[in-house]
Amino acid sequence: MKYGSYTLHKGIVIDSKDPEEKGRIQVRVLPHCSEFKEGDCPWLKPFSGAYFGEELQFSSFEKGALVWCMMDETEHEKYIVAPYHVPLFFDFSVVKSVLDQVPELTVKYEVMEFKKYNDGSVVFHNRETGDHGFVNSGGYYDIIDTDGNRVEKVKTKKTLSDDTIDIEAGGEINIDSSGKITINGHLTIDP
Amino acid sequence: MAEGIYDVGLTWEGKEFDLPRTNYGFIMEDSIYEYFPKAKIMFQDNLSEFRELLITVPGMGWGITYGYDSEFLKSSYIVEDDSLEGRVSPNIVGGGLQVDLIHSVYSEQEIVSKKHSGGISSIVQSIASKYNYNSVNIPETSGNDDEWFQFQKKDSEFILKSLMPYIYSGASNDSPFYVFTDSKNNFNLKSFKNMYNSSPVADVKFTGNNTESSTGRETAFNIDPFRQRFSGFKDVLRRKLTYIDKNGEYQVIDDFLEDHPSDSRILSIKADKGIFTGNQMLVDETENRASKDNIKGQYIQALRRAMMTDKLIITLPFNPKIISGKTINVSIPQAETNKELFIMSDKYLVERSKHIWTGEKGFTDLIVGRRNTNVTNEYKFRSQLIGG
Repeated sequence: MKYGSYTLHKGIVIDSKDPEEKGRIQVRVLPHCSEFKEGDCPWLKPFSGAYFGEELQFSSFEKGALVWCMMDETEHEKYIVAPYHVPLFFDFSVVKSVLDQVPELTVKYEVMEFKKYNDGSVVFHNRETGDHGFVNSGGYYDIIDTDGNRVEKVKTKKTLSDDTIDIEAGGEINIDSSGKITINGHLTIDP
Repeated sequence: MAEGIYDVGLTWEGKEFDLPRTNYGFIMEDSIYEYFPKAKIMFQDNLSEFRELLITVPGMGWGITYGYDSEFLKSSYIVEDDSLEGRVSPNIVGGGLQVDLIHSVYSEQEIVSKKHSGGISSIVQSIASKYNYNSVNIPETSGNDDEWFQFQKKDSEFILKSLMPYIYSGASNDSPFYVFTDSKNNFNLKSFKNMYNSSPVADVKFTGNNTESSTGRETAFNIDPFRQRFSGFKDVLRRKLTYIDKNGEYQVIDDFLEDHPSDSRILSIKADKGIFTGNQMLVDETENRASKDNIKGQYIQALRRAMMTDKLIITLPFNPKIISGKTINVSIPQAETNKELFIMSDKYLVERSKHIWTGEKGFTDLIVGRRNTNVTNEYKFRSQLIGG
C-alpha cells in the first residue's frame, strides 16, 4: 500500500483550547465537516513545530480564523498547516500604518519581516537596517538597531532586580539591593 | 421458479420475469477483493424488444436466483450497462443483449458526513446493518478504537479507503482482513486466517471428464494451476517498516511475509532471506490507545494481495455451496497412478467464484488459492523456500 499522499483543504478554526494541551486545533475542515456539529469537528495536529530535544514551538489560532489543513489519503491523519492567505492578510498598508507611528524607523516593504497580531501589535525586523522591535496598538514601542541603539516609548517603566542595577552611559548609576543610588561613584542617595 | 434439477429465476423490479429459462443465460460472480458482487444476464434480443422496453437501462433492478438441491444463490442487482453483442445482421439493430449488473447496495449509497467512534469492526457492523443483506458476517472483533471521520463519503468508500487500510485484530494472527459481499447477498468482514481455517464446503476431485452428466457436483472437469507473478508480491517478502514513535524517535521494524500468519508450512517461494525488497512508511505513533493497532493494521493490510501465491482455476458442475470466502479440499490424482498429487492436492480458499447458467446447463468457475504448502522435510530444496 502506498502511503504518504496528502491533500490540502481549507478550514475554519473552532477552538484552540486543546483539552489535552498538546497544541491541537479543532477545525471545521471544508467541505467535509460542513454539516458537523461543532463538537464533532476533528482536532488537528500541528503540521510543523520545532522538535529537537525539548525545544517546542506552538502557535494558536483565533476562533473563526481561516486555515490550511492537510489530510492523508485515508483522511485519518490530519494536520493544521498555516493561516489561509486571504487578500487582506499580507496587505502591507495595514502594517505600515502601525510602523509609521515610529519616527525613528525606516519602513520599506521589501526588507521587512513582520507579524501582526489581532490586537494590532506588530513585531518586525528590517533586514537592511537591522532595526528589530515591537510596536503595540497604543503606539508604544521598543526598538533596537544594528548599532545597538535602543529607542523606547513607554507609558510607565518598571525595572525589577533581585540584586543590583548598573546603568553605565558615560557616567554610571548604580542601584543596590537596599535601594541606595550611587552616581559616578561618589554621589549617593540613601533609600 | 422454473422446475428441473436447476432452480433458475429472474426478477425485474421485484416482479418475476416471465421468460423461459432456456431463453437467457447469466453469470453471478463474487470475489474476496470486491465489495460489490457483479452479474451479467444475456438475452437473445434480435428485434431489440427488450431494449425498446427500457428494462435494461442503468439503475433498473434485477434479481437472480440460482439453486440446486435446496442450496441457492440469490442476490439483487442494478443495471450498470447494457450492450449489443453479435448483431444478427448489419441491417438490424438487434442481436445478443448483454446486461451488466452490480449489487443493488451500490445504488443505495449516499454521501454521509459523520464522526464514528469505536473499533473498526463495530463501525463496519453498524454501517452494514443499515442495508438489506441476507446476513452481516463479522466474526472477529478488531481493535483500532479511535475516532474515524466519514467526510462526505459513501459508506462503501469510507469503509474501503478510510477504515480498511488500518483494521487490525489480535485474533487474526497477523493476517489481513477482506471486506466483500458474496453471491448469496451476505456481507463479510473476515481475516485471511478466519476464512482459511473454516471447514471446507466441498471435496473437489479432478477427473478430467468434460461431461457434466457423468460427474457429481464436486467433480472438477478442468483444473489449471497458475501462480501470482513474483513481481506482484516481491516487494512485501521482506520489508523495512519505519515510523516515528510517540517520543519522536525513528523506529525500524523488519517484517517477513511468512509471519502473517506464522505456521509450520512453507511458502512456495524461493527468496534470499537476508535481502530486504520493500519498505513502507507507517503512521506516527501517538499516545492514543488505537495508535499501535493502526500501525500494525497498515503493514498487515498491505499484504492482502500477497497471501495466496499458489492458485488453481477450477471448472466444475454448478455448485452453489462454493462461493468466495469458503474453502474446499482439492484432490488431484497423479496421471496413470491414481495416487493423489501430494503438493497440489490441498485445502484452498475460494478467492473468486463465477456461477454460470447457459440456458441449458450450469457451471461453476473458481479461482482458489493457498498461502503455503505442506512440503516434507525430505524435500530437497526445502531450506531455500520461505519458512523452510
